[in-house]
Amino acid sequence: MADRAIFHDFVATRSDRLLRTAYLLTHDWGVAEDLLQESLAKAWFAWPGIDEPEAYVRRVLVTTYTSWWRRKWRRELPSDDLPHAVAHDPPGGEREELWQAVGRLPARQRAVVVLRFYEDLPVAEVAGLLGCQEGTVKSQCAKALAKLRVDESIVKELHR
Amino acid sequence: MSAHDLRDVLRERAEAPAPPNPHRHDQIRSRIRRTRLRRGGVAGAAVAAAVVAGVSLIPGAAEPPAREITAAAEPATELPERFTADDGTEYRRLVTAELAAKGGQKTSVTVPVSGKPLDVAGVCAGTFGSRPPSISVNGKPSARATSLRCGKDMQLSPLVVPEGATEVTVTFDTKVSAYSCVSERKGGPCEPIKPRWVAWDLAVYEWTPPAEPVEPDALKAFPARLGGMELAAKAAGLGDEDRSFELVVESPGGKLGLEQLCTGELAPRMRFTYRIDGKDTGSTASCGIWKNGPFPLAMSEHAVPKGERVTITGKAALWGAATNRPVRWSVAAYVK
Repeated sequence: MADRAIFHDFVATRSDRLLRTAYLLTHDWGVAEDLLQESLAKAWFAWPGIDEPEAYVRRVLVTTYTSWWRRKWRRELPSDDLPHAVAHDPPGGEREELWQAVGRLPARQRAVVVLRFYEDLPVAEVAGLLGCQEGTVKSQCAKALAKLRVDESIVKELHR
Repeated sequence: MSAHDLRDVLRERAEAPAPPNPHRHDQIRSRIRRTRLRRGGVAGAAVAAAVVAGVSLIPGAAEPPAREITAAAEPATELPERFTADDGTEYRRLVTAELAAKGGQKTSVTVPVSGKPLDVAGVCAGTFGSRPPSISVNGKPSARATSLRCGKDMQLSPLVVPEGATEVTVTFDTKVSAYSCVSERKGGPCEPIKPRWVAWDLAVYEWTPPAEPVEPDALKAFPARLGGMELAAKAAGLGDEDRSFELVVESPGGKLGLEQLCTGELAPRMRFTYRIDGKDTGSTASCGIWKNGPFPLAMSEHAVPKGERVTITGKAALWGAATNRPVRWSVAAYVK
């Protein structure tokens, strides 16, 4: 059980890392800050009953993000279809294109990509965070990677 | 693209410098408080209504006058403990106070005076036009302070304290209002404006002047024509001290308009007074801040003798202290 007395310390020491995850989800530092604060405020009310604060806040962060996206509060314009591949490098290069493509993924797929490839969480944990089946995580991940045009070398990682 | 590339891109982006937010703790506390109020529902609302006014102090500041605390209240966490203005000036909160959303509220706080300039800050949950509190220092109206305006963003207003004071008592009072009355028709009775009461989070800050003067942005040029009138003369200045200027114009139609523009963090604190051929216009004008969009027209119009040269003498001044925070200003005379 987490003591509310350590909430302040938790915010001071862990919010930077969580903010970066929020940024990968939202692609905007301002919205990321908003998402982080909203998640921490929600966590505060559940704090006395939380065993693992960081995992709990991360879960709230992801579910809050996907719920925002569903409600379209943030005026995102996600698209299921990426533009056709261009014959030449865009001005920002392939990495920039990949970053932009991640930003165009639907919220749940983006969350799966961030949790799997930035947080390096195993499928089971991602499923736990998103509140879905492991199979759903794998299929969402596969769809996301297809859209990102990440090569087949990754397929084996999907089942890790 | 490989999985390795994807990982690299995510790490690269995530490890980019994040904008610092020194107010995160305050902002989270504020969210918690709002959520708690929402969850409190009707019972919470009843409790909130019972709170007439509350005061809280940061550690180390002077104790508040106990007589003014009528109920325990959450600190005014909408207002950060510290923040940095756009021109780099560091603000430190000395004391906070709250006023409930009903008429006739009054609360006082005692503020230590270190010699650094003081500002009053406020945020309210209402809309523009909602009645702001009057502010007095040691029981005397803070005549030189501009009033706060209700808005979602924090509003700052200078607080002028008596010379040599080591502490002052600042009173926020919605019994006395900066708003007065309006007449429905010319010569008709002046009816008091129906007040819209809102809750206020208030604070007093002290700020540390920047080490070097901060250069304000360049001013946009006045339009050649404005409100059907033509630009006839203009004057400009830069500084944090009072400054006089003179414009000489001739108006064929006997109509004169005066406009002001300013840049700089303290631009909203500029005020201008005019005399036309030695006669006081009797009004004080504030400054327009024109960053984009249409010109922020707020022209004061005056009747002058047709076809005769008139001399306009004016004075530009700032409310409160402005050490190393100069304002760039410009005034223009339009004629018709």
